[in-house]
Amino acid sequence: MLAALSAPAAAPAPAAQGGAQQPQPVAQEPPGFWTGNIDSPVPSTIHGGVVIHARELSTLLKQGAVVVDVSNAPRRPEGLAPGAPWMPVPHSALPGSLWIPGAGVGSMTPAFDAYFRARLAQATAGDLGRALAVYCHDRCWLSWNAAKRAIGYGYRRVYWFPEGIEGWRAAGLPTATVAAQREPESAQPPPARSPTPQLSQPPVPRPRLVVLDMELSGDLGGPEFTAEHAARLTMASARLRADLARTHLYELLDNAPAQDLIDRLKSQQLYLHECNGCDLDVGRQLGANLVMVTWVNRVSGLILTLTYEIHDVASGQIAARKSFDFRGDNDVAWTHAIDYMARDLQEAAAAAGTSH
Amino acid sequence: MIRHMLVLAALGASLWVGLPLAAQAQEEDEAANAARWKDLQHAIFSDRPILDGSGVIAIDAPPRAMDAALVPITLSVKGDKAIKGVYLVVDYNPGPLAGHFTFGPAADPRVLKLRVRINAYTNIHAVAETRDNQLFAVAKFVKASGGCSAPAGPDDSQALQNLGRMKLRLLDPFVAGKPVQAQLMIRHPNFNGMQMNQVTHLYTPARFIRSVDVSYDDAQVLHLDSDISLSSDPVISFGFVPPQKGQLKVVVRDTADATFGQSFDVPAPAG
Repeated sequence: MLAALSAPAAAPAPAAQGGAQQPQPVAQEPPGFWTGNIDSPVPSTIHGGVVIHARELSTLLKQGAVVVDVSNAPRRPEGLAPGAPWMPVPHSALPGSLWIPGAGVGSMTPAFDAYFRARLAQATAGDLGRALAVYCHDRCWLSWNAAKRAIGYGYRRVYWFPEGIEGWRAAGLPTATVAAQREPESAQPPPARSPTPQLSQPPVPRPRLVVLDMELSGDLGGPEFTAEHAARLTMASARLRADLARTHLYELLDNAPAQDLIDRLKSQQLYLHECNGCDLDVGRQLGANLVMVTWVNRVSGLILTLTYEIHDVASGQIAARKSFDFRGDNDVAWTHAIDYMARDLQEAAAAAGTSH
Repeated sequence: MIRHMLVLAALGASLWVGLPLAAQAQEEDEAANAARWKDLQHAIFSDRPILDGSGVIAIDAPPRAMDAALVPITLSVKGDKAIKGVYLVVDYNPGPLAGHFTFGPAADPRVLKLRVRINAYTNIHAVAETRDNQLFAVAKFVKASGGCSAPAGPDDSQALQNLGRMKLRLLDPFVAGKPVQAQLMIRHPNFNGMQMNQVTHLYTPARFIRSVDVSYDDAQVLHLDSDISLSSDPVISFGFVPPQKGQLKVVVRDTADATFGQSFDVPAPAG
């Protein structure tokens, strides 16, 4: 089979770089959003939604389905030569598409998530039973993630169109030029600043991270728990640092040189994870790129949530944030949650680093 | 002129209800492609006349690329016109001028090879400029789309390891005074500023190769002005004529104002 397909011996050199055409591999559905390379083989299914092809989608659109394009928009790179042409083509899409660049990334800020949800609600007039089709390009995870997100919002008729704009064109169906939805200021991803590459100093160092002590919020359970919680937070903060060190994702900084500042802030603020950016002062004093704040919200002795946020010191934006629910206000449960969180961070980073 | 004819053809097609949709879409695409090329001629060549380049230059690329981030392109100069330089234009890339090669006295301009990123199904144009300032173009249609965004390579710090390191391979045996093909490999991620780290939500800052200069014993071989369309870890093949044993010198500059230089003995020392 492959032999029959292979190019004749007289083929020019590029054949050596390409090789024979292989059948496209198919990926498994990940349990959560896909945070790996967005331009890689996609699954053939989407749990909670329906995979749709061009002709069926064309019919569905005539019946009033909302169609969402989550392709990326081109960004003019810094450093383009002054005379070099920069001419992004008008965005060609399925007619009537709502183009929301950024809605398909594996992990997004809460602000963008809220924006996407609201924009879908507006487009569907708040009807969770309205058919909703999501696409971007051929072999592109962004649409899978965005469709998965819509399913999570409660839409009951979510259609994922994995063939994307290329498949639509290949079916001979018409396209239209659309403009990107303008996202609200607060929902924009942070500007591309950190970590600044060092000129001619390869390799770029790992981001310098300050890890502040874990905090406890919510129902603290009364004075009889105070000592127990103080001890648990000390244990948990040490555990967190040890787990993060093992990931090798960051250069962990010693907080001691900023201890005076930290103590002063603690005397002024209830929580450093929620102090209007005072944690960034600590980061600046220590020369960090990122500051991590972590807290457990205790709903009861049984129900707790562990949350982390990583703040970008230069921009003040939230670079990453995630919450993990767990059961049981005890050392074992806390430790388990922290270990899980560190593993999750590492897996997300590894997936993002997966190359072809 | 051609553009107008195609637009008219497309209009006619859409009025003719009986025409199959696919054919209609194809005609519209062709009209759009022609209009785009017209815009590019204006932007890049200031509307200088561009002649049919068959017989002057040829472009070879896979009709359907396996990997949109690494589409191999071969540019071959034909005939006996003296060629000053070659432009490579990827019509539908946002930065459409992928590269502009100019040749020096030590060059053998007959074959150039490189790998480019391609955003969408697109025409690729190779435009040869002769020493008497005439332009000759040929086109080839390529189906490739990593269109999602240029793929994120390995993580940033890994991609920047060995930044600027180069290797050179001679593809023909060295004979003094005879043309020889060389393959140059440069370690550089060519970050285009559009790759987002999905975990941190940060875009990897753009950092790409802006120029490559090759000389042989102080005689210029070629100069390349490049752009974000060049693949990461570029591999560029070119020809040159070494009059005797000597040194091939390569200087690469990137947008972070870093300069990388390396010299290679020709022929390579045995062992």
